[in-house]
Amino acid sequence: MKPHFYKEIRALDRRLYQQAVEVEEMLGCVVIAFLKGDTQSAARLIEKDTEIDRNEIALEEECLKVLALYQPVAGDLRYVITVLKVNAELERIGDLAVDIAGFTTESKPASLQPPLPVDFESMTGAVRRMLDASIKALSSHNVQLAADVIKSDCRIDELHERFSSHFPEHVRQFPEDIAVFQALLGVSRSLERIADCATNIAEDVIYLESGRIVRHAHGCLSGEETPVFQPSDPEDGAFSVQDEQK
Amino acid sequence: MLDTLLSPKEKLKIKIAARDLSFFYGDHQALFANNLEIPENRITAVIGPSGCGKSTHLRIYNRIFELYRDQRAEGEVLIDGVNILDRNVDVLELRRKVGMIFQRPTPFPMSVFDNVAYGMRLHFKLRKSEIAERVEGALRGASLWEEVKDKLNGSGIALSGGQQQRLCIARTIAAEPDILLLDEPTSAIDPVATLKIEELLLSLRKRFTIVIVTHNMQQASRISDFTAFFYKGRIVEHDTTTRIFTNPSNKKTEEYITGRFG
Repeated sequence: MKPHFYKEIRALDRRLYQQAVEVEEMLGCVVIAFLKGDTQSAARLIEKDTEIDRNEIALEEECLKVLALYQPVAGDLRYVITVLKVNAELERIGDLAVDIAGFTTESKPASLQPPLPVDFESMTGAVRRMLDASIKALSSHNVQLAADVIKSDCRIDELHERFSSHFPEHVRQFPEDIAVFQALLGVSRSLERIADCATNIAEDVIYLESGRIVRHAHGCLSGEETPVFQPSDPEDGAFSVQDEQK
Repeated sequence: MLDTLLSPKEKLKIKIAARDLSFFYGDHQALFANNLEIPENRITAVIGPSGCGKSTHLRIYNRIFELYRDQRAEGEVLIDGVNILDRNVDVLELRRKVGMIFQRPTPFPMSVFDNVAYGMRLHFKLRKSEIAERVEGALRGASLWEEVKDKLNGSGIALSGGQQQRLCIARTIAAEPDILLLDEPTSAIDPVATLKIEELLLSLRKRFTIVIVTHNMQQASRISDFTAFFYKGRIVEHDTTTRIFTNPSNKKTEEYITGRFG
């Protein structure tokens, strides 16, 4: 037995989930600030990213220390590598949340002329649930949940694509919406990238549990193809997010 | 079996094949019908907790166990297709072909030169000049020449522990074996000397098939191409070293290499 090693591993665990909680909270607050057009809150949240960056470096240093001192192998090695990679993804999500805060203006997205191709609030909810599910998959070693997150990513990509392709037509009809729509498009892009980060975390969970690297090979994932975090009917533009798997 | 461990492009010749190999110390059975294929010109590490039978398995390959009473092997060990457990096998020639290096350096109480020349004098009839040439070649092969070329007539026992172990490797390779068996060759020497031995083994891999028993997981992962994990007299897992140390398929292997037991 290696009690010191496991103590270090538990410490990595705690730091990682603390970081995940802070990033999720930050993202949630940033999205609310954006939707409300609350620029003051958005500015405050940008400062939060400095703390997330500091935590990222501290956790990375801890991982490097564990690698150097204990030279873990097999499942232990995969765990430390996974912590390193998830840590980097969380920091990236923090940066993307800062981008969303940067898009916040006093003009609320709700002021846009209908119809919009996607219910924006539902899209943000779906991305946040994807992120939450990827962290839950990591903490509960749940490969199936991780696979569900991966399958959901393509639907978020579709939603972002729908926003982008709607842009020229919308500003032609409502030129006064251009600034708000551009901001919305920027946030949509950030959300799409956050979904990618959540997908990367889910891929890391599969690597951690099985040793398989499934990046670039999602076709090999077993199970049904229907994404879990999706709009109920992609054609009509309504975006009702399914209940997350309990 | 080895075919399943390799990529289709990597076809390796099997140098040693143990078939249903069992071993007994008197009435006590230490190994249980094991099968293992060792590829040519590769380093295979044998790992496992104390008493699992890894050294016992190694000692069968050159029949050194026959020097002790009440020990016997059952099954087959094919080296280049020949069962070396067959009674008709010339054991002296087998031990030339399958050299062995032990945990503690075992230099003979004679000069550095004579230590290396000893084996070749035993096996070959050579002129003095040929012996001198081969001694130099063996010492160079063991990465020791530069350190001892000016004290060839000095005692082998006066060398440092790491140098003594490399002297033993020089003595073994001077007999021109095909296979080198190493039983925890660095457990009695310091980390710097250990790294020199490891570098040496990596360079010797081109000329010899190497099987190394080690308790040092990092050593196994650093230098070997394949790893076999023994537990309670049985081979639990045999795979490429990369796979064993990143994603072993057997839970027992994982528990052992991650230090959860042993």
